[in-house]
Formats: sequence, C-alpha cells, structure tokens
Amino acid sequence: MYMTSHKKSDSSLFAVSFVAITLLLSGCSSKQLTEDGVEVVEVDPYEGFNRTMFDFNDGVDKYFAEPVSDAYTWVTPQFVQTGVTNFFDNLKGINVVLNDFMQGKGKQGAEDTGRFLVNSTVGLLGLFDVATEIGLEQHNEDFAQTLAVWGVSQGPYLVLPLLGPSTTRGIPGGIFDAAANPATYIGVPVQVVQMLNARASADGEINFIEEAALDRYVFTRESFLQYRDNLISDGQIEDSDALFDFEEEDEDFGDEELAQDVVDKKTEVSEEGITVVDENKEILINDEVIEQVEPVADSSDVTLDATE
Amino acid sequence: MGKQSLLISNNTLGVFILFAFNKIKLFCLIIISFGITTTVVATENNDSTTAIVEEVVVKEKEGIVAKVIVTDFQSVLIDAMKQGKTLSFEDRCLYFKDAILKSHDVLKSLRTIVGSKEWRKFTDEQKALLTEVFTRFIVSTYAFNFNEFSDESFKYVSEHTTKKGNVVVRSILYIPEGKRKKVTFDYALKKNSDGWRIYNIAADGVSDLATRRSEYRRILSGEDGFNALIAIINKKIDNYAK
Repeated sequence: MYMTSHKKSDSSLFAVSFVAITLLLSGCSSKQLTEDGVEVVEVDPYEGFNRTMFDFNDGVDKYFAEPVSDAYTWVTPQFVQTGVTNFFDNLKGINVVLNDFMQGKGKQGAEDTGRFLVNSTVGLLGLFDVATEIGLEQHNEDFAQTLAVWGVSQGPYLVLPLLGPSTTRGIPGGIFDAAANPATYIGVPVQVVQMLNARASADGEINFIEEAALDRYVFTRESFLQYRDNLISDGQIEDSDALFDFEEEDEDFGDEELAQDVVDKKTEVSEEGITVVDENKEILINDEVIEQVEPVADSSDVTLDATE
Repeated sequence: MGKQSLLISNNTLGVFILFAFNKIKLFCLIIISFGITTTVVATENNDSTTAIVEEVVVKEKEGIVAKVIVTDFQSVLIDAMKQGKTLSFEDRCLYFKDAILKSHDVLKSLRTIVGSKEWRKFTDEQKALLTEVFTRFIVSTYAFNFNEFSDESFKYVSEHTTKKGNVVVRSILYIPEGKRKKVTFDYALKKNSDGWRIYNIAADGVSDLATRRSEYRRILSGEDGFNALIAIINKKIDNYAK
C-alpha cells in the first residue's frame, strides 16, 4: 500500500493496473509542462499525475487503510503480527533466491535457499524466523534490482494507485515479483492480510514522514529513490563522495567569511523577537538534571534556541 | 601492531623509545645469529621506521577525531533515550542543541540545502533567521524522536576517506524491538576550522541533505518562498513540541 516501498503488495490484480498505467503514461509523455511555475524535476516528469495519485493514496490510507490497520494492530497480539510478517517474508524468499542467482550472487543465493528451507520446515511454514537466529540473515532482492544490475535504466518516478512509489523499471519488477510469490496464488483473503500487515509494519515510517517532511510528496520521492539505489548497490559505500557532492559544492556562497557574522546576528534576531534566551537560562539554572547531563559546552558562541 | 598503534596515538616519545628498544633487540639478534651486519644497514632501517611511525601518527590522529565526533554524538543519543521521559521535550532540546552544535556543521549543511544561487539572494537577516529556525528544527527532530529506550545500540563499522579527503564513518543502529532490526548510518564529515564536523547523514542510503535539498528548493521556488519556508518549518517545530 501507500509508502510501504519494499513491502509492496503482490496481487496479480494490480499487475494489470501496472500495464494500464504504463500505457496511460506513454500517452502523455510529450507533455513537459512546468507545473505552478516550478521547474520539472528530471526524474519526475509526470509530477502532476504522480501528485494526484499520491493524494489519492493518501486519502485511501487516511480513510481506509490506516483505520483498518490500526484496528488490526489493536486486536492482534504482537507475536501474531511478527508471525504474520515472518510468514509473508518467507514466501518472498523464493523470489529473493531467484533474483540472487539472476544477479550472479551465487553464495548469497545458496544462503537464501538455506534460509528458505530452514524457515519453511523448522520455522513452521515461516511463522518463526529461525534462520536469522542461526546466522542466515534476510536479504532484500527483487526483480527491479535485478533489472538494474542488468543495466536497465531506472526511468521516470511513478506513484501507482494503491501501490505507492515506483519507477518504470519497477513495473516489470513488480509483475515478476508478484508472479514469483506463492501468496499471489493463495487467494484474496490471504492478500488482504498481507496488505494489512504491510501497512501496519510501515506505520512508524509513515508517521515519521508525516512529522519530519516539509513537503511529503518530495520527501517520499527522494527517500524512495535513494533507498532503492541503496538496495541495488547492496549498501556499498565506494561512491561515498556522493554524500558530499552537490552541484554547488565548490561554488561560492559569497559569505564564507561571513559565517561568524551570521552567527552573531542570530543573537540579535532572537533577542528582538521573543526573549527565548532568558527562558533557556531559567531552565538551565532550575533544572539540575540538565546541568549534569549537558556536555562541557565549548560551542557557546552560537546561541540558537531550542525552545520557543 | 595493535598495542603499538595504541601507544603511537597516546605518546609519541614512548613509541620512539619502544621502536629504538625493538631495534636494539633486533640488532643484537642479527649479530648473534648471523654475525654479519653493518652499522649502515642499521641506520637506514632506523630512518625508514621513523618515517613510517610519523605517517601512522598523523593518519591515526585525523581518523580518530572524525570517528570520535560520531561516536560521542551517538552516545548522547543513547543517553537521551535512556533518560527517556524523565526529561521534558524542552530539556531534551537543550541537551541535543549543545551536542549538535559541537558535532555538526549546521551552517554548511544548510547552505548546501538551500543552494548557492538562493543563498546569495538572502539578506543577512534572512540568513540568520533561517539558520536559527533550521537549527531549532533539527534539534526538535532529535528531541522528539529520541525519547525512549528499548535496548537500541550503535555499532561502529568502518571509517573511509573519500577521494576528496572527506571522511565517512559507517555505523549500524540495532533496534532489537523494532520492525526494522537495523539501520545503517553513514556520517559524512568535512573538516572546518574547528575540526571534523558532521555535514551529512545517510540512513540506509537515504541522504539527509539530498532529501532536504529537494524539499527546501521546491518551497523556496514558490511564491514568497522564504517566508513560506520559515512558516512551514515553524509549524513542524510546533508539532514536535506538542
């Protein structure tokens, strides 16, 4: 469901809508409009469509998925939820093994095969994740990652109805993953449980975005794309300069020496506004715990305020 | 070697004594076993080891500092979580503010987020206001999210110097009771006049600066962008403080 990124539901019903949407989108690819006078982001040429879908998913989540998932969380004991998560993760294991081998990861493929066998037997059809206990860690592989390894380019960012963030590469990826997942063939009730559980598992992440994002659409898009890239590279940090390299890294901000000025002026601004500084002093003096807790201050030149 | 490097970082003089001592022992050993050696060989050896020792000293000093900035900050996070509800939101803000200002280069990060083109357009007052609000936002985010402890722990994994001489410290946050059992944190540090400072953080490959950059620029490019940005951030802070 919405924003469950790696926990996409695998219903074959949605596979059909994948195809429908691709066709729909290829129809409007000539439109390179700037929406609301804002530059079109290269990776997101269908932003107008995507935002509509995002809002739609948001509505579905708010008025349907979230209440139902909350109810599910409320009535289901934690150990049952964990069991359900383990069960569906284990069914995904077949697909993980296939993709391990398709990406040429022989050793990992062997491990994941062992993992699937252990959890399906000793782990009682996957309800218990015994494999992790004995050191066979879960890996996250899917067909979209395999396509990336094979050199298929990512393509534009897409927000799919009910399924959430994806890319054009994610569409064949999702179809393959659904086809290679036994849960797809068991029946609708099973899929409903799977979707519920996926939504419940993603609750923390969804709340975090709600709280932290200034623009939820942009935040979701950026973190989704980066998260997927990270899965493709299996978290390697060889290109770690990417953490530093932004277009203007070497450009002149016009105030390298002004930094201290800005810091000094900050005090003036906050003093002109509400007297936040005094409030802080009070807390500091009155609350002994804080004084103990606070590490030795050597950065007192910057008097920014945490409370207002 | 482990013991030696420990000594190197702590006491340079001690190392030289240690090396000199080892050298003498080695020297005697050579004389005894082979009976053939010259003072020339010995002095040559000595020079090269000195050079190696100096190199190691410099390298370790830089490395340790960057790593320590990160591990110290993480222990502040764990500490705050352990104190949990005994600290109020405001208390945690104060606590984190100090820790963040000591370990992060907030201004440098903010400038990258905004981008040089927009940043140059700001007046000094705007720069000051945004820096203040932004810092308060970061602090509040930490104060809001790190408020209870359920056996989380950070484990240092590696340190890596990039081609441009920056440092990436990788660590893993273990969350025993979480839905997601572990999250990989990459701390990207740049050196400024105060030493190594955290510039960017990536959680499972999601770079904080890159994400914020897209958000902030989108808002800044809209109508009355600056004021809109300040208003949105303030609203987020208020939500955290509730």
